[in-house]
This record gives sequence, structure tokens and C-alpha cells, in this order.
Amino acid sequence: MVASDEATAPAFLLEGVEKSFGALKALDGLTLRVDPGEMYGFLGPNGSGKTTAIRVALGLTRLDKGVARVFGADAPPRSVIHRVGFVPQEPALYRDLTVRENLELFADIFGLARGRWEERFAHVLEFANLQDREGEIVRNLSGGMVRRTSIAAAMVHDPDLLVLDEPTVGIDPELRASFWAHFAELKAQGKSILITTHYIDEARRCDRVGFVRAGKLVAEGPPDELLRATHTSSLEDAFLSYVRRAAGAPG
Amino acid sequence: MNARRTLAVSRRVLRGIRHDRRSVGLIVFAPIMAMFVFGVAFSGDVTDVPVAVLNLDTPFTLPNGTTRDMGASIVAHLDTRLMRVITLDPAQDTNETAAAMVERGEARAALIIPAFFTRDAFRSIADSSYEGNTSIELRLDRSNVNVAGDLQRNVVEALLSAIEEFGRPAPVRLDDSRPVYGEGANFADFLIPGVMTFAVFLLTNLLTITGFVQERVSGTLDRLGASPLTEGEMVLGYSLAYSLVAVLQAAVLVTVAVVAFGIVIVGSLLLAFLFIALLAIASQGLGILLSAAARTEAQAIQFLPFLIMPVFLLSGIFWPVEAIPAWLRPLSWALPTTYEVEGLRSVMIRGWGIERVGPYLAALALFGVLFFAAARFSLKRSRH
Repeated sequence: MVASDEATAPAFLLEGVEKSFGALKALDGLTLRVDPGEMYGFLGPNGSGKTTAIRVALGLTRLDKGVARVFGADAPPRSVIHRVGFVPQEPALYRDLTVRENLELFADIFGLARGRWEERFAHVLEFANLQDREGEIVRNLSGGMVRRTSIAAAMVHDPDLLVLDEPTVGIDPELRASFWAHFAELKAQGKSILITTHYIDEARRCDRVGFVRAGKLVAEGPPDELLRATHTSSLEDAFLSYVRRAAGAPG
Repeated sequence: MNARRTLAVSRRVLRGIRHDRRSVGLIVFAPIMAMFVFGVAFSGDVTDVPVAVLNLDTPFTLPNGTTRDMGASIVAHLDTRLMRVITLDPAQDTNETAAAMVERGEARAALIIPAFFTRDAFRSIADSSYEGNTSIELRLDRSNVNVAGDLQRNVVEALLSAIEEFGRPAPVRLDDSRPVYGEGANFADFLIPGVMTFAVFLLTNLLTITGFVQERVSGTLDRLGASPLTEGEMVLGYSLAYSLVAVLQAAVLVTVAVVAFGIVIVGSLLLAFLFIALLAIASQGLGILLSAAARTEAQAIQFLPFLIMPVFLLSGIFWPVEAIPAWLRPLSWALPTTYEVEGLRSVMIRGWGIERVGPYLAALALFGVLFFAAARFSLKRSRH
């Protein structure tokens, strides 16, 4: 029963989630669903609640109200967390360790079998274009390389759901494009991806996007549909159109 | 508890230390330096203290024809390593001029042996109703009680030796030539357990506090929070790594102490290292607790004086716990370091085995469990 739940349940689910930090309402009844095999873009300005939404589902922040589940497991989703790869907004690496030592740490912590180490390390290093940086201390890498290492570390255990919080900040356009190509490849392998970004237009490659503002979802759907509905040609314009609508609409 | 994840954390911590030259310096050289500074500065011997000696005594011939000079004998028995004797001229100087030298700071004490001291001493022994001046006067500068105490002790010893020399053994005598423990022990033997305790406590706290503030600030704590790693595994992983570091550090310290200071370790080194490892575990838990209250490393460092001062002053590292006012003593026994110092000294100098230091080990283990649980709880609670 639990196993079948885990297999069919949404990869990532928030339902009516509320969360306040003192007087600040970070999440105001947010509902969000990422289906297995889906690439979902979670878009909104800084401070709109994207990071809090992720933290609540992963069990890093307690919710006040509502439901938060990963692969059907209520937050904190201990039982399924090994299937999740999380790339926090800040690079979140051990800067006094080498790239490879960081990978080894997360491989051990996520229980990646030793026999698969070399294959996985080679794969994620290629993904992040860091093949020749394996032995370098993270502190000595450039900002962009550190971000790429951070993504590589989250992918080392071949997760079924990849949660990326602003992964493309500080990464040059060429590599950003290659990242999106790789994310599409992961999706093609049946992985689920939740990605937040405030480079709204790069999210056109997602299956669906959700626009969030002040802790609430203002619109959700495939990018093309949102463009059509708002008669706009860029997602950024579509976003602004929805925000205006939400602000103008009574109630 | 999953061993692989726990050990992964330990290895991470050790690798981080290995890549950081400053940490290695802090771990290896700082305590050695501290040992040398304290070991040399506090080597325990006061030397070369100027003392004005005015000997007004003159030789005296006993009825049986032998001639005695006690004044000269006392002066001859003064410890010239401790004292730099300034001999005053009995023909010119007086009690007043001798005392004036102390007043002017030219001497730390004036020793005045009165005129006819030998004669009066012998006569008063023969005839208890005889009234003469048999008092040697020691005018001390007691602004430094340690130095004054040493001078006083040495004059008494010289006096006793002089009496013995005249074939008149003192009627009572203190024999302390056969100590139960610590035969041949010098100040370094006493000091090393204290330095080891202090080094392990300070270093483990410092590394843990800065390490955990970094974990929080860099976001790695979040990343690990969204992983199968449990809080217990994390704290245990850190504990194992720091225990190993502490034991290595202690081994270096002991080696240097044996080579440079010639200390003698009577008991089991293995038992001493067990003490070190337990203290590292307790200190590490305390460090995690403190790190929770700091947002930056700079803030965390500000906690250190509050940590260092009580441990330095109250744990019996330099001053015995017995010298601490009775009302403060409960605080001493509320510090894990007090049990550590006592336990280490008992093992290293007294040679006590586990059956006698058991209570100290138990107390340290209790601190370890307590701080471990609190650290684990504080990490769980950080999910707000």
C-alpha cells in the first residue's frame, strides 16, 4: 500500500500550505503539485515564498497549516529523502574539501553503492563540466564552478526528484543553456524536476510553470497556454499580466 | 544509527582539518607552545632574590673549650640559588640600615642575626631562666607573598640545619622524604595534565563552534537536513573525528613533555587517552550548543572568553580546586574539565587504574551524554 502510494503519488505536493515567520506570511495557502516525470518551473520574484515552499516540503521548515508531501510521504519526508536531490540557493558545499571529496561525502550519506561511484562521479562531473577539477579544493574554484559543483553533489545518488533553488544564478548563458538541455535529458529518463528561478523566460522549457507572488499561486499551466491566455510573447510579460490581474481583481 | 553515514561525517571533518594548514598548526603547535610558555615561566623555582644579611653574631667558646659560631653557620646554610645574599658590615650597619634596604627595594628581605646570638642560645639551653636575645629577625617585603613564603621557608630550614650541625638535633622533625605519589615529580608533571585538558577543551570547542557556524551559514546543514543523515549520526560523526584529533594532539603533547621536560608517566597512557577522548566528546557537544546562538563566526568567537575563563580558573589546571573559596567550589565540580584534570593527574602521576578513576570517567561520560543529547536536540529544533 505504502509502496504503491509512493509509486503513484505526486513527486512533490503542497496543499493549502500556510507558513508565517512572525508577522510575515511567507506562504498563504499555497498549492503546488509536481507529477512524476514532470519538469515544473516555480517562478516568482525574490521573497515570494519559493524557497520557503521547498524547505517546507523537504522538512527543513515546519509548516503552520496544510499538507506537504514528497512521493506521498508527509514532511519531513525521511522515508523517501534518499530519492531526492536538493540544490539549495547558496552553494552549500564544504569549501575546505576537494570537489571529489564533496561528492564522496554525499555519495556515502545517500547510500550510493561503492560499485557505482566512478560511473556516477564521471557522469555528474561531465554534467557540470568539471571533469578536470575533481582534485581541486572548492574554495579555490570560481563562483560559477562552485555552483556547478553544488548541482553535481545533489545529483550524485541519481535521485528521482531533483529540487533546484535558483540553480542558474551566476552561471554564464552558454552553460545555462547546457544545464537546461541536461535537465530535459533527466526528464526524458523519467525523473521529476522542480526548479525555481527568477530568470522567468528560461522556464519555457518546463512542462508546466507556476507563478507565485506573496506566498500564493497566481497562475499555473504549460508555458504556451499561459502565453496564449495573456496574449504575450514572453513568460515575463505573462507573469506581469497575471500579477496585475491578481492585484486588480476584487477579492 | 547508520555507521556509513556517521563515518562519512567523521571523514569529512578530518579531511577539512587536513586541508587547512592553520588547523594543523592550531592543533599541534599551539598546545606545545602553551606548554613551553607555562612550563618554563611557571617552572616553580624562585631564584636570585636579593636578601640583605646582617650577621652581628660572634663566635662563642663553650665551657668545654669548643668554639661555636651559629650565625655564620646559618648564613652558610642559606640557599644561594634562591637568594642573592648581600652581606652587610657588622661594624657599620644596623638593624635600621638593613631594613632600609628593603624599604628602598634593594632587597626583598633583611635577615638580622643579633649580637651574641650563639652565646645566648647556648646559655638559654643550659639555663631556662637565662634572658638573652635568641631571636633572628627576618624583615620581609611581603608585597609578593610567593617570594616571601619561599624566603621564610628557607631561613627556617637554614636554622634547623645549623642547629643539627652542632650535634643538637631538633627535638621534632618532619620527614617528607617518602611521598606516597609523585616521587621525583616536578612542576611539569603537575602542569602537563592541565595543559592537555585546556588544549583539548579549547581546541575542540573552537573547531566545533566555527565548523557548525560554517555549516549553518554555508547551507550545508540544510543540505544534510534534506538527506538521510540523522542529527544523532551527525553529532556522533563530529564526536568521533574530534576525539581522534584530541587523542593525536595529546599524544604529541605527551611525547614533547617526556622529551623536553622529562616528565614521568606512571599510569596507563591508554587510560589517559580515554579521558582525552571523553572530554573531546563533551566539549564538542557544548560547541554545537553554543554555535546555535551565533549567526557569524565572529559572534561565535565572542563566546570563547566566557568559556575559557571559568575553565582556566576553576578546573584546577594551575590552582588546586582546594584553593578556590568553598562557595565557588560547586561551580568547579560543574565543569567537565575539573574531572578531566583530576582524572588525568591521578592516572599520569599517581598511576591509578580504572578501578580508582572510574568515578571521574563516569562523570565525564555523563557530561558527554548530556551535551550529546542537548546538541542533537538543538539541531532538531533548528527546523523552525
